[in-house]
Amino acid sequence: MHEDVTGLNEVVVTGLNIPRARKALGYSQGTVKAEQLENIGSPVNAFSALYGQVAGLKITGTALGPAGGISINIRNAVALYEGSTNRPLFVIDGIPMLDWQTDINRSTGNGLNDLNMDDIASFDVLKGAKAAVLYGSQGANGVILITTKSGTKKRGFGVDVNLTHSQDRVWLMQKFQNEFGSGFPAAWVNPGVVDAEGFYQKNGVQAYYPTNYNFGPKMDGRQILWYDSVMRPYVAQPDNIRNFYRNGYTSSANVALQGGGENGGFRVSYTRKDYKGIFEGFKLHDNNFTFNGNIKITSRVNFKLVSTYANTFNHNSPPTNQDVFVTYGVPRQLSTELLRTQVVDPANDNYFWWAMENRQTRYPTGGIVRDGLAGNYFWNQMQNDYDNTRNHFINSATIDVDIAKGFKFQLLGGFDWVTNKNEQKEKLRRPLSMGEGGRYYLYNSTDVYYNGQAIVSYEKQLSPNYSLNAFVGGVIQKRTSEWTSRNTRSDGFITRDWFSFSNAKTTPVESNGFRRYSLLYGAFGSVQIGFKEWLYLELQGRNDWSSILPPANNSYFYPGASVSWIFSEALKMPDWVSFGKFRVSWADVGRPGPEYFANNVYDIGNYGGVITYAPRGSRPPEDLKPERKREVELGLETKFLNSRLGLEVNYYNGNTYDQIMGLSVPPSSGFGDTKINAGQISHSGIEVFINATPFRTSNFNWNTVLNFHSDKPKVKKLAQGITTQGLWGMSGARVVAVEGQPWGQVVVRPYKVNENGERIVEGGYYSTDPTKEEVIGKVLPDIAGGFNNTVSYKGFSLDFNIDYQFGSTLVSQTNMYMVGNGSAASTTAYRDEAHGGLPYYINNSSTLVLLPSHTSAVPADSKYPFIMHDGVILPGVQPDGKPNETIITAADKHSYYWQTFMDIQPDIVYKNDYIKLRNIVLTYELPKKITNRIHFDRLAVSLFANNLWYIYKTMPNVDAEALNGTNVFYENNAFPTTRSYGASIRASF
Amino acid sequence: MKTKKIFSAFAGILLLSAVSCQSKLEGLYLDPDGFTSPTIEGFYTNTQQQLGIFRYSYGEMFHDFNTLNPVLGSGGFQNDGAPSSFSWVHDPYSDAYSKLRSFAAMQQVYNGLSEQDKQDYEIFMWTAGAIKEYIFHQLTDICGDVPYFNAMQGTDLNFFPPFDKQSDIYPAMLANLKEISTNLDGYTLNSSFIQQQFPRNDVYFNGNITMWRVFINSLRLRLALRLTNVMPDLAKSTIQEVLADGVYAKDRATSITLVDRRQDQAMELLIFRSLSERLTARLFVPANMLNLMRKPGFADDPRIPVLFQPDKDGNYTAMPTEAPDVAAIAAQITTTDLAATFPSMYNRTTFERNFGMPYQIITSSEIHLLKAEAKLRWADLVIVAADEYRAAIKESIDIYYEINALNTNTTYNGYIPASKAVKPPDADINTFLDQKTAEFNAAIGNEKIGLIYDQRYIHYNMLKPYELWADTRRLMKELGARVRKSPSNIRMMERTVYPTSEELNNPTNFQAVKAANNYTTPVWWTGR
Repeated sequence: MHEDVTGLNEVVVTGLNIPRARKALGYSQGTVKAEQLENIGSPVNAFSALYGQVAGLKITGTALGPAGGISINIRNAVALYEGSTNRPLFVIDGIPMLDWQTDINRSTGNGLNDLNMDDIASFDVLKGAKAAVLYGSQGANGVILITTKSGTKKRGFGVDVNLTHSQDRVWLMQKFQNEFGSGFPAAWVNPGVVDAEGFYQKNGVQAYYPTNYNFGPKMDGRQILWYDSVMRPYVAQPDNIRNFYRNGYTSSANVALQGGGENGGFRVSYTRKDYKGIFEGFKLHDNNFTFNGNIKITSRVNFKLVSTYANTFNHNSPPTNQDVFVTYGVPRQLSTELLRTQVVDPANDNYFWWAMENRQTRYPTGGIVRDGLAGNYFWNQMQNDYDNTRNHFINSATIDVDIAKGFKFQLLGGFDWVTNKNEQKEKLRRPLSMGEGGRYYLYNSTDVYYNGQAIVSYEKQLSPNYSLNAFVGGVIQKRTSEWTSRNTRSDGFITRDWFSFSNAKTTPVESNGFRRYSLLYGAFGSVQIGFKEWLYLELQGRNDWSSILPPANNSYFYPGASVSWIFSEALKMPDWVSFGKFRVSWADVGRPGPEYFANNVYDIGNYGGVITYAPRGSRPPEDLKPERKREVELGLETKFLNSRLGLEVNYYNGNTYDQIMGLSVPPSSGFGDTKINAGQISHSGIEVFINATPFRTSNFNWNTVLNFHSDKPKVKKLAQGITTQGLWGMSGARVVAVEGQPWGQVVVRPYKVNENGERIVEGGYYSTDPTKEEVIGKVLPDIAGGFNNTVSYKGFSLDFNIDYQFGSTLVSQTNMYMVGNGSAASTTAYRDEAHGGLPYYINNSSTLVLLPSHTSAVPADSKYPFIMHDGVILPGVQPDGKPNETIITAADKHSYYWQTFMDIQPDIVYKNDYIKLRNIVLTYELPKKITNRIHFDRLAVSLFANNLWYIYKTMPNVDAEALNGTNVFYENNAFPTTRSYGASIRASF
Repeated sequence: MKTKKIFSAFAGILLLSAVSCQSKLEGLYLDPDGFTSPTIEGFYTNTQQQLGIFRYSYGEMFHDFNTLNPVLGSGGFQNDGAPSSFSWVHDPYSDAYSKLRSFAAMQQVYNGLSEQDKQDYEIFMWTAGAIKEYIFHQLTDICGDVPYFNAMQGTDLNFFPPFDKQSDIYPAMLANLKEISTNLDGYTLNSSFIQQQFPRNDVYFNGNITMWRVFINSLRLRLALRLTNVMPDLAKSTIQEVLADGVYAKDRATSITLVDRRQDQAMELLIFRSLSERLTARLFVPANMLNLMRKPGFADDPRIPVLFQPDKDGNYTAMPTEAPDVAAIAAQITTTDLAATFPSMYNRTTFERNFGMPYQIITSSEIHLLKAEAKLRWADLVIVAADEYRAAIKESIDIYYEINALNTNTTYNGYIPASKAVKPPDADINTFLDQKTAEFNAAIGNEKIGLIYDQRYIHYNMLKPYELWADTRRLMKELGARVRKSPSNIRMMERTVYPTSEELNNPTNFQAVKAANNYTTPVWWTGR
């Protein structure tokens, strides 16, 4: 499972699906053959197999795991505007794919999720500008070429079967304290609400404190009156949050039939995937049919058709439920098992348990447990339907014609077509006689990306020393995107749970829609001259005309050039040098802006029947140009010792310029931002790729690949005297691009300090300085890569894959709020005498007064009939320079981290470095003599484990990839990560 | 020859297809759902209906109640005695400029018009210009120095306007309003199509030019009074000019009050939701206000039952001001049942559930109090201060009863019948007014202005925090603690800070105001 740089005569697919000899390439291209990845199992998302496989290709999941979207990025491509994509172009069998960013709120991923690993032959990663230059205005983020498996004549029946099953278990979760339950310290409430031990008083007895904050009394097992008026022991439930989740599984069955002969071949494949998520109610079913056939129509004409149809049904992908999972917390004594019995009320016609028998008032629990957890999580996930059905067609037809000697003509056409239907059915939680309710929502969308291209090529050996390879062609692409949605209004249904718009209390129901279209024409040409098969010069160019750009100015040219020198052929080399190539390339490629970006348009409305026009807060650019990247790449590819050791090193230096920016301007200009083409970001990076076979005997083999990528995109220039540009995708902090600094710095408000650097304490508390900002990290890693190994002995092989990244920072709201709501392990500090709390009392003026001892008598002017033991004096100085002596409660100290507007404090932001053993696979391939006997061509059994071990990890409480989406840089979900164990059987007969 | 023909035909086809390609590209350039040909009329109506100009918006008031009610003592809350730390989530700075965006777009279209069209559209531009000054006076009162003269010019690529001094902005606003008032004096709409559209697009006054003059002149009076500490001469001369003109808010008919035309969205977007959400946190009856309305030896202020509603026992009880007093009644405080709270709340029928209430932009009560104060400052003005003082209270009583009576909703959750107040007989009101007038006449020195302030405090209450805040800050120089109604642990917030982005996005110009970028530096017109 390694990036392949071997094969002196290897032919690879390059830009526009043109095959080329690898040795002639003047740029770096990573190729991953699917057979190298096949043992990993059948990932729900094919791209998750690419972790750490190609230097410079960064794969990052989201908190939703493989069922959600995935962030794919080449060479740290970045942008200065949220609407500019930093994702590479995905091209499958010559057809560009629809691709979009995703979040994690009931996300169903995007069209890439539908690709099936069993049907993919290879991934080719065009990383640099020259590699992607034939994609012109779409090449700046690199291109990933996906080639599906084609059919050839095989032994036996030509049938391949792959059965895989894995169990998914909750793995990484937050670390909670299990000493103190829900509640407030006495100091926060009026006398009489809690007793001297901190217990809430209800009906004169110690009772369950109806709040989600865990600043209550110590859980010592005593019997207390529970919220439902039953006496139960007051003990910690260490696994109560773990019990929100269940065990899941992924299972996949693939059957492929292939065959062929002299005139062509075909492969037809069917895959069924079932996925049960760890979240209640979450499941996914996927049916995938692929046909790949080619036929020689005449001796000069070949026809190829690749057709994929995927149908995915996604039920109840989880919503982000920050209130419960992150912000407010859950009582540490809450029994999730008990609560699960308090969701549906069978005694009351299966309505919501809490909505019936006046339980909301009779059984106070706090809104988070009742509405957030029982209602919005358990009820919604188990009773309601949030369904997505996606139909995905990818079709690619190619006609190749041998026109005359050396002349070839190729016509390629096809489309990527995705339709989505989202249907949401929300049941009534209470009878209609008690209030309004019920909701039905229907959304339909169609997205199509049409592509047609024609190429005429010419190949000739000009002389014994010189060869020529040239082509010209054109491309037409059209992209359309439309959706409409309808939903019942907030007053809900006429009758119970009939999911029809006819059942809407108010008609017409609410409806919305959206449409977006774009068109692109391109013309391209390429000339490659070879000298003695060891020197190649290639010149390429493409001109694009795009409807996204202003009509007066919609044509742009993208040139590129490369030289490849195979010095091991040109020069006399020692024997131990098997291969050596030096290459240099240069190109200038583009990135299309989003549709309608430069439009000067207005919003229309009415006020009491009078028309209103509203200018938008964003000033459109005067003259939009495409974003461009110019990049020089130098590369060295070598092989030593009979190709047992290979080394590839690339150095590149790029400059992204004419970037689209929503330049933040002072609101007093009349705009929030002005859209312009400006800004330069420099990239200079190194990619190192080493593959080696340290041991090789007839029975034993160890292959290892180490790859490494380092790149720090730096903001060289913004625009018009602007030195800082706010970026996007953050919560509680800001991400900025600052001139002269690395792209994507994270800034927060620092704590107030005096001139000596001492923390200032006011009224007992620290506070952050609203007038200052401080850089605490950046969102991109400095280095990333992988370490992949295959050890094989006879029929056994063991694969283990490690990937790593260093240098980024992840803003985690989970880490902040779990301190703020008293759930984090660290919040036991100062809670009582045993945890270092100070003794104090509260006088009649509500002032906290330090006492000499925990056994002090209750002073006469005490507001409460007892003294407290959870005092703390924060180290620091008062504004006048005197040491702080003001006492506050432990809950005050911890709950300071609970910030209404999510503003995170600098001391609770963590680096996100990790080294991860992502998977281990043990495969046993039955010997030929056995398989032959049972009429199998091949039979292999694998055991695998994914998400196995963080060898090193700096991020506490959440996963290193716990992001809230593919284009954001923060975490605010507290979704646990899963680990999966599974087995697969592969058979060919 | 044949080859040439073929070549020509081929070239022709190529050219045709190139042209058709180009037109296809052009056809897809524009967003099919983006509107491309707006008019001045639509921008004009949009300028008028921006939330927060006459309709108090949800988000703004939600944060205003939280921050300004404690500072001004205009809303009772459970004071815990902690020293106040300043914060105000509302960002009036960005908000004001975004409200001005449609005005800037109008200006842009207007500049490109023919001379004839310009003349027809001048009525739109003048009256919108008055709204602009209304927005700016509110902004500079809150933030001090702000970009004014060169603001809103981003369309011309002027993105970084300097911060103008409040001492320059005020005279300019007054001069501009005077010019508009003069332009409108005797103005009548002509028969052009454009001008005939004006009444429809003028959602404030339906094309009534005289009401525009009332609004503009009354605004001039308000602005003039702000300058008593710093430009008394300009203040006086402006007041004299307006009094001589004679067109300003004098009575109910000329009070500038506006009724919302989109009441279907009122609960979602407007003050009602903020009242609803802040009711139990910031909108108890403030003790300082109730004490003023229930002075020993005086009849009860008739506004008590329209501003407030009774508690669970049917009494009007206030939330104490100071923390120890709050602590003393803590056990009795209850808000679980909104129909039976303790202490009393602001009147929910008058305020919270009254979507058709007239918004008080500039009332005659405000102007009467203003004139009374002017007389005390400039004895030569032809004004009888006591008469104005009396009229102010009377008309304030009238308008709050009017507003309360407008609301016919009796079915909202927690409604109590006592929140629908019955106006006392005129004789009772007159008795009260006589007592108040006598008290005013008997007062000496600055106490007269103190009494005027008290009436502003009651009349504006929590509903008009910006007016009350401005008068408090202005009068603090002369009257000090006399005009402070807040608890002793709440410090005076003198202004608000600029958005943090300002230092990043307008760094050079920001240096001029950086030193005053805090909550504690009084703005220029306070004279402090």
